[in-house]
Amino acid sequence: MTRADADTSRFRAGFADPVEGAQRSFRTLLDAMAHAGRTHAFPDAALQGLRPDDPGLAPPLPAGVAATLLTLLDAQTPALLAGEFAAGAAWLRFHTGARPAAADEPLAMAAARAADVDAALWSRLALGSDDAPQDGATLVVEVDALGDQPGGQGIALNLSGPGIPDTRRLVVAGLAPAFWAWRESLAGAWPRGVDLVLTHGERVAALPRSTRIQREA
Amino acid sequence: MTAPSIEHEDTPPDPAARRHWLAVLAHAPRELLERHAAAISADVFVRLRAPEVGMALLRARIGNHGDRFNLGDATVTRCVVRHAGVAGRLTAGVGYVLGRDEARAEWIARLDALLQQPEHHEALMRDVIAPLAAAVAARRAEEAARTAGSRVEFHTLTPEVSA
Repeated sequence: MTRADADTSRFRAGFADPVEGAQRSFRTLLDAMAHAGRTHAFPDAALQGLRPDDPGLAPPLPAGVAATLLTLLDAQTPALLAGEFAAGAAWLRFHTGARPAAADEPLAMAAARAADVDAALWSRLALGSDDAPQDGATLVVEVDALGDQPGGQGIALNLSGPGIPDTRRLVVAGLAPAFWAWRESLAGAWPRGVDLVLTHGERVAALPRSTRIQREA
Repeated sequence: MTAPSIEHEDTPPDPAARRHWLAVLAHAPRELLERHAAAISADVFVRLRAPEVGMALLRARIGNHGDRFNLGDATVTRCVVRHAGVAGRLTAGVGYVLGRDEARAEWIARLDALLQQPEHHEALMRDVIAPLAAAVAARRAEEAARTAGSRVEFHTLTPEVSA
């Protein structure tokens, strides 16, 4: 049964127009990375095909995660879909050619729901090296809430660094405090590190490794 | 559930058999392929990958040994469609053709999706693949016969050495 479940995910749709969809999503991700911590919405034109009328065609991953992975992955990048997202592995392979990461291999790209992000996952993420910081991993997380409005539930982050004029506030729900502690511990590792892409439905915010994060008490 | 057919419900078709019918479809003359494929309603298919033109790198080895070298690029068009059969069984049909004929790639993908459905498999093998295979073989035989006329045989004559 599990095999059949995994197999049928490859029968689900990707971008309606792969070139258009990937280019518009790339632009959105670029903006999100350049304006660290600011939330952006994937444009409708990019999500064509990712929210079909027929639920049987809908991608096995939330729209924002799906758009991000379809845009950034190709056959050269091993990727890990952790936890609940593992059921989308066949879909990802069909649309991008990305092979699943081997168990003992440092991860270049991983995606998971916030509840599935644990130490076992983040300890496998590649940080790159001082010579090749571009080998640092990208972690895509579907969080429970994402916003800059005060009063929302979740952990409030005060952000500063490149792409942020003064400071910026971002409230993220679902990721454990231990995760943020781990992210803070990487501050001294620069230029090594991990780039974070946080999605919630069709919205996205990015926390590149250059962003300094302080949790609000 | 219907009676057990050519294959078990969850096992994919034999790769060798599928390779055979995909090769026949890819080489089939366009007008013959169109005659068979146009008879199928397009409504029962969903495009998973709309026809797209790309390039494939052709690699070769001289005499089938030695190092591989890059012979060149070929234009290839591919398409993937999905079809749901009677029992809700999903199949994904793929079509790959040389060149940039998008319609041909989609016809092949549709036929491939149906060929993987047990209820259509035998009829399609009999009514579509068999005649197309015959047409492909006939065309190849004709080409072989035409080129055979100008064939040059190189014989190495060993001089007779008198003892």
